[in-house]
Amino acid sequence: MRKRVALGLALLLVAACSSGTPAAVPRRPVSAPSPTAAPLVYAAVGASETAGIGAQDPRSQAWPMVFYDTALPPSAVMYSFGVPFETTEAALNGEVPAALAVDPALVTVWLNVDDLAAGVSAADYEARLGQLVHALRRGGATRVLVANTPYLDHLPLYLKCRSGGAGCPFAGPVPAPDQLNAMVDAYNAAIARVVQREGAVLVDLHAAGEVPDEHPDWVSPDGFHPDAAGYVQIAARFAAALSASG
Amino acid sequence: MSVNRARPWGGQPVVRLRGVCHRYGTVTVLDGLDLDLPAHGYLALMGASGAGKSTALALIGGLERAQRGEVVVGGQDLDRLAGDALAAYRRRTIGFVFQHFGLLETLTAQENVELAMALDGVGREERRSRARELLDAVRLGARSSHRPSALSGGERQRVAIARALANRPRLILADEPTGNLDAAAAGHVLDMLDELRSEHGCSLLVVTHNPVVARRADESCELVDGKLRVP
Amino acid sequence: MRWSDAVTLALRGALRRPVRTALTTLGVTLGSGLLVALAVVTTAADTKVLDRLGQGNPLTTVRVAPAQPRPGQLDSDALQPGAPHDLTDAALASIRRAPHVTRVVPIQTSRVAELSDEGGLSQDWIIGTDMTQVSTLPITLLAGRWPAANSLTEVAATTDYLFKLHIDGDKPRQALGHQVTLTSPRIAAGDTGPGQGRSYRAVIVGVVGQDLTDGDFIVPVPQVVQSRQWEQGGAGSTQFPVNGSPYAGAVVVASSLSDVHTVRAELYGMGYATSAPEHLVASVQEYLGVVNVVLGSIGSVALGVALLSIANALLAAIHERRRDIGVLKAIGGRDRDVLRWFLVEALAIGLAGGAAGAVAGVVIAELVGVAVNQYLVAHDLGSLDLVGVPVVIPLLGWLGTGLLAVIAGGLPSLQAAHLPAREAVVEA
Repeated sequence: MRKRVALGLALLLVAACSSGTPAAVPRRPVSAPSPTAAPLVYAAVGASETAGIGAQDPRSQAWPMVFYDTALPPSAVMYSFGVPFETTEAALNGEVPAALAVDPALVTVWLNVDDLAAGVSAADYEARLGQLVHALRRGGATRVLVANTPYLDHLPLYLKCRSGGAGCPFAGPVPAPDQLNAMVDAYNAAIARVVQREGAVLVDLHAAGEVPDEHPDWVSPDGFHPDAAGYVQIAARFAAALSASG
Repeated sequence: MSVNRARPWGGQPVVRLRGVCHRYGTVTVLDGLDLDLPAHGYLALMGASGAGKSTALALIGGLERAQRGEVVVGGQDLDRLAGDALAAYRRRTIGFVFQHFGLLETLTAQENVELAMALDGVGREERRSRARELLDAVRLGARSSHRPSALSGGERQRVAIARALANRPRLILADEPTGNLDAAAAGHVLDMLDELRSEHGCSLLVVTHNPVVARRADESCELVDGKLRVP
Repeated sequence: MRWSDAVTLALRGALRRPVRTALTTLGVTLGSGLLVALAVVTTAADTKVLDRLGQGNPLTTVRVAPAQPRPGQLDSDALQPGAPHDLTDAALASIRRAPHVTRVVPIQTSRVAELSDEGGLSQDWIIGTDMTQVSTLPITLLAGRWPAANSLTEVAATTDYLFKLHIDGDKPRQALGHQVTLTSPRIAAGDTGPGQGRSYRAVIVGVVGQDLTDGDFIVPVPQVVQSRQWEQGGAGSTQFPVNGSPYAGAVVVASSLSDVHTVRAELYGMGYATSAPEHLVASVQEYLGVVNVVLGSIGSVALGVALLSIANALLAAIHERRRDIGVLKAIGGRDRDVLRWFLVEALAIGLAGGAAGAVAGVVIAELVGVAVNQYLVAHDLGSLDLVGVPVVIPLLGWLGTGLLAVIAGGLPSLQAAHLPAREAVVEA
């Protein structure tokens, strides 16, 4: 079995706001869930980072759990469908039907790095992502947040692969940094078009820049995934996008 | 309420004893006693102690049943009466006055008089009114709320007389009514008995061993050896 | 003579010898008071001890496990589960149809991971049951309230969970209002990762002590159903195996204590392991029965002596009042008038003594209850609240004493009624 290592890269995002780092939010909502309020159903679709890979305790420290815990009302119910190594094509057949089955009002989508590492062209990726987001939007009944691709060229594992190290996630030869960045830009352009076309909400992880350089302690020991602290920042980015979208 | 006289019964004697015999164990107390007491009559029955006077009184009063002979009082053959009928006879036909007064110590003078009427089912208001009237008649209206222990012997006997008259009897039986009284009180009691007897139109049979008491009666007789001897 | 006149005569007669009447009444008070106190204490003890055995739940409940019984299991109160034997809807329907079964409350469980305050997940179980029948179950509410029957956001935490919250077991109220995040895992076949998850938040509205099965939370059925439906969409893992059995158990309520064994035998025949405190209850009931008989005998003897004192007092009174009785008859009193007079006197003494005895008995019982409870608490034997009086006991004690007094005074009263009227003229 070809070993595919998820190249989910959680870029450590510095809060872009002039106020500096995102304000610390209480870990649990202040108010108790109302027994009579209709619960908001949230589904998280994604790959290894959605599953919390890289954190010491993935189930409790994955960014969807942090996002659920800090940004959603107490009565919300979360379904986390993240599957390591998941591409957009696989998600169309697996995670998407499962997510639709729970009738979500809110969906987050972070599927790009595994497609990129598998060599899926931007055009194919855009078509599949468009199909996925369209299905999840359900004609506008569901709010969909789509994360784009962060910078990958300063990841410790990528740099190690470039110098001949083992365990590289790329299906073919390790691309050069400018080549990798071009692929990331093409993917992000596709994501932007899909978001625009389908009325989704963009979560711009790429705007955070080369975060590993500034916060190496937010990267997990595997050199690819964020650790718990990194997932907190990612969750905050998703929360900010949700809040900004109204 | 006015005093009512006893209902007239015609010309028959109110008490008639014929051939009455009674014994206690081997001792014959009455041996063929014949006795008549006319209506409205006042008879004194004398005799020595143990002559059978109280026994004769008990038989006439229905306290005992004669072993032989006939006892008819107010037209009623006592031998035919028993149970409630006998109690009714004692309640309505007879009025008893005892030597020992016979008052219940726990009841007041008024309540003692009312007791006779209570036994006859008379209503509370009616018997209260009549009791007051009777106590007034025996001149004890002011002592009606006193218990017997607070009354003198003569006063107690007067209460007993009032009780005896409560149910308008035809016959008053008085057993040594002055036996426990001094001479003055005895005289008052006898006067009262006679006075009320006339007022109420009932007969009076007084048992006594005292000739002074006997002389107050219209007639007197003596029991000797269980038989009557008219002096 | 009317009853009112008889009452007047009787009361005046009784008060004629106040000391004798008082002593007789006191004897009745002591006897009836002792009996009332014993009845109250033993009734409360019976109820509370058996309640304690049943953990505050009906003693007629039988716990059923999704397992086969071991041979000879009916001879033991304990659950002796053998090989797994799923409890299905069909099995529950059969159990409901069984004779002497009044109710069946199924129990469902689902494994969850709970997000703790310190971060990280701890493995727990949620135990789902019908909240409208929770009084049937071996669950005791220690603080707060039960979750609403259809709530998806309320849970009751068990005392095991208090430990995780670092809350002293004596202060369960501190857990009320605490929010928990519960995640049901779904592991796909071959998935070695964390798997997918369904998470929801709930607030602790009650704290319970329970003996149903292992678990930190008692929840309404809808919560566990949703959790199980999610969980069974996957293949499970070593850490989170899928709970295949439809029900984790059931609680069956028999129609009476005497039917518990029959119900257990029926379930044994269906191939299910069961447990019920039937032998323990029977032993305790037998013991309590012996205690009741002994104490009741003591009380009855005491009351019997008191009633004999009524008869004796009445005989003395009749002897003293022979002349009065004779006079009453001489002035026209019937036998039944005399009978009424003395029966009322006996009744009056009985009711007076009985009333005082009922009050004294209640006070004694309350004091005994307080003393026993203090003793138990002082010796770390737990507390057993024996205070509390069923009103019917002192009421019956009072009326019963009156009735018995009339019976005790019957013979002397008859004797008085048959005294000859001639007593009126007998020399004193």
